[in-house]
Amino acid sequence: MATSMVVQGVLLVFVWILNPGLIGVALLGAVLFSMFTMGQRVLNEAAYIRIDHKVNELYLASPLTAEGYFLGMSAGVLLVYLPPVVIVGALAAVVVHLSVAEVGLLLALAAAVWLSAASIGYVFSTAFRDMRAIWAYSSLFFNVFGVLPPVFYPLDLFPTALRPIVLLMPPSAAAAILQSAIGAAHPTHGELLLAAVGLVVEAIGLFAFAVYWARRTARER
Amino acid sequence: MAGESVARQYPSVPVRGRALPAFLLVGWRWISRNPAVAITPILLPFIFLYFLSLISPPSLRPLEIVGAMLFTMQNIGSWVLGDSAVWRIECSLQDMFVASPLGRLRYLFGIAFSNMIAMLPALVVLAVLLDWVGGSYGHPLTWYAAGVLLGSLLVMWVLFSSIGIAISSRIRTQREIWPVGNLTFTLLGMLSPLYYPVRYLPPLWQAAAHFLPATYAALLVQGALGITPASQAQMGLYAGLLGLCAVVGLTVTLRLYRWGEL
Amino acid sequence: MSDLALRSRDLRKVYASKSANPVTALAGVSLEVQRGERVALLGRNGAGKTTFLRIASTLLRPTSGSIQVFDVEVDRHPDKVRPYIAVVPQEGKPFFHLTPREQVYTYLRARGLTRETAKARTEGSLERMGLTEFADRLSITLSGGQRQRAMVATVIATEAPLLFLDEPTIGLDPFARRAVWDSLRDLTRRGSTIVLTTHYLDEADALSQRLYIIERGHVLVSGTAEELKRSVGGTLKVFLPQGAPSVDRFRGFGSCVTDGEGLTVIVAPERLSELMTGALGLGLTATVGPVTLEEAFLNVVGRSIDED
Repeated sequence: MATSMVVQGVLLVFVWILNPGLIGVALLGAVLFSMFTMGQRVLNEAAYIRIDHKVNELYLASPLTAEGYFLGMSAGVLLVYLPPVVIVGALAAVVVHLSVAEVGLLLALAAAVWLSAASIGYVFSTAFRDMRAIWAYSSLFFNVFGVLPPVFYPLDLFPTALRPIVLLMPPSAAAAILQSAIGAAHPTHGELLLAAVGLVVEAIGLFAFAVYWARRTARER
Repeated sequence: MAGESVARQYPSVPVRGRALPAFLLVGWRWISRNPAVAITPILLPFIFLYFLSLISPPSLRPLEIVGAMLFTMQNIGSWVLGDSAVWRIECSLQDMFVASPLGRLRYLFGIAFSNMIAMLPALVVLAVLLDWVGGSYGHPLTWYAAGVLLGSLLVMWVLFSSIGIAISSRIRTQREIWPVGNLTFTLLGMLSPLYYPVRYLPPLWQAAAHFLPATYAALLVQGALGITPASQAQMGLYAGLLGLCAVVGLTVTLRLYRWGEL
Repeated sequence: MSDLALRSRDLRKVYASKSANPVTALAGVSLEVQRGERVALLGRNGAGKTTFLRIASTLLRPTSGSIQVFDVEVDRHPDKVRPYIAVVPQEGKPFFHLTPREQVYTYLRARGLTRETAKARTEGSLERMGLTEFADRLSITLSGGQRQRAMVATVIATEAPLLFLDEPTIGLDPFARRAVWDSLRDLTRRGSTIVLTTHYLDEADALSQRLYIIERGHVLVSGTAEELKRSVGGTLKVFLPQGAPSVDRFRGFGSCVTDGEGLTVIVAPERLSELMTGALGLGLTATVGPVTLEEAFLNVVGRSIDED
């Protein structure tokens, strides 16, 4: 569990030491980034079970459906790694003085990010045959998506010309919406719409694709 | 003397292995066939540097770049941990190297060297960036500073590779590899003031940071560049303490490092 | 210097456990392997074969007893022993990102061989193991059997004076197994000593010059395959399928092995005619064949289990 919060911890320390005024935004970003990195856990778990143990074949040659396997694994990872996220979320709620509606928004956004990330993680896991390659590629992918875009810092600090790109990434889209809600960032209406619609479409679309891919790879691998 | 007789019986059998030619191929093939492995260590420091550029004052840029270099070298421990654990647990390859004339230290050096190949591009790019950015803030990379930087990186490389392989030799399953490596080396990177001046830390944390070798490596290089001014005596003290941390660290890790049971 | 490549005296290995009782893997194993010999260790799963191999190849520390390789105490001077041994570990895999050619070459270079010698031995070893066609394919793309062949090729190429092979032909097709056997025979002709563990009794029969049967950490019996086959009290076996009520009357003809399919009776040649006449007279189907190592193994180990 502790390892799931390491990168978030590092970034929170950076913010706390170098720019304490941004700590509220950073805490909220940590919650969303944590939900996003659950995709990395799903990727590692699914690949490890398939590559190392081939136990996935036992489950798939059973009444359990391929999508049931994918969902079960994703939910299992969520269950294990949720407690530290809840703690950080509670801390964020206190530091930022979130209203009930804002807490609800945070939960909804976190769920959308989790769904996208778990789907990405599962699909990616089927592409690898070597655990060492997984660590290198997944580390790159999840850090590019989570650290580079405005998740731990306000959207206002990010170059305007490049915002449409990051607003199509689930964690930064969710962060932009949340930052706007609490007044920590000031995206345009268009940017907000792009983030919201993009997030919903990605969550549903990626999930549907992951289900399709789970069924397809169950037969071919 | 034990073994003299068998050595006479089999004079053509090499009694000493060679890590460099073997692991040069291992490391080179890894990055030539998995380019992302080389890109990841290059990009990760820049991702952090970009993040820091948004939240910290510009005057800290040279310090942050030095920190990125030291953190990259420290993180080699994580890669060494992963490789050696996979090769031991998953592939049982370490058994083949134990039952050979290579020896545990050469094996450690080999894995550390093979991972250094992947890290080198990142370090070169960061060094160029340091010279450019440092120069624009009045802290150019002089020969003296480059020498101190190289020495510090070398000590970090040896020490953290040893830590990585020592920990890996105690890991029992593949699932433990990534979380243990991630936790150990990222935490070490966080506790050491690599990306900000040590004086920014709360007093208790400052005190704790002075037990970490990376802190002295950072102070040495910052001092050599003039980022955090230090007298000759202080530089000598930092070098001595870095050396002491390295010796203590190496002693402990080499005791922990399991090479078979013998 | 003695003629022994390996000698153990009362070797014991006890695995301590925090949560359960300690496990005694070796309970006093004494054996000798002459230089240039091919010796097989046979036994059931968990008998202690791999533990013995791992102690002999300096991977594990014994709890007590002594073991010497080329007259050097393994426990006290492992580094003196290691240049002269090589091991194929059980379920080993090659570096995934290397080809078999690179795998073998890398290992030989790590052992200190020159570039030229390593290259020459690599090509020879790959050819002997039938891997030339796959030599430049990434190991991760190879089948399990091809990877195993790459591991065996790696160790064969060392031409070390003493080779330890733990289940070397597991997962290999019959052609590949024979390629391994031929390579090992060739190595012993050139002076190497081979100690292997195997579950394949035909392999032990075909390959080993001597074998040890280990059960629950003890050596039950040692000898050549022929000696073991003769020790079961006959050189022929008669198989009587189960189902017929009168089958059991033939138990008196010699030692018997029962499995789910029927009854196998080990019988001396002079009693064969009597048995066959009796069986055919009762309308039973009987199959005759030579006693194999399997019957000897089942007989020896089965007796040991019964005695316990």
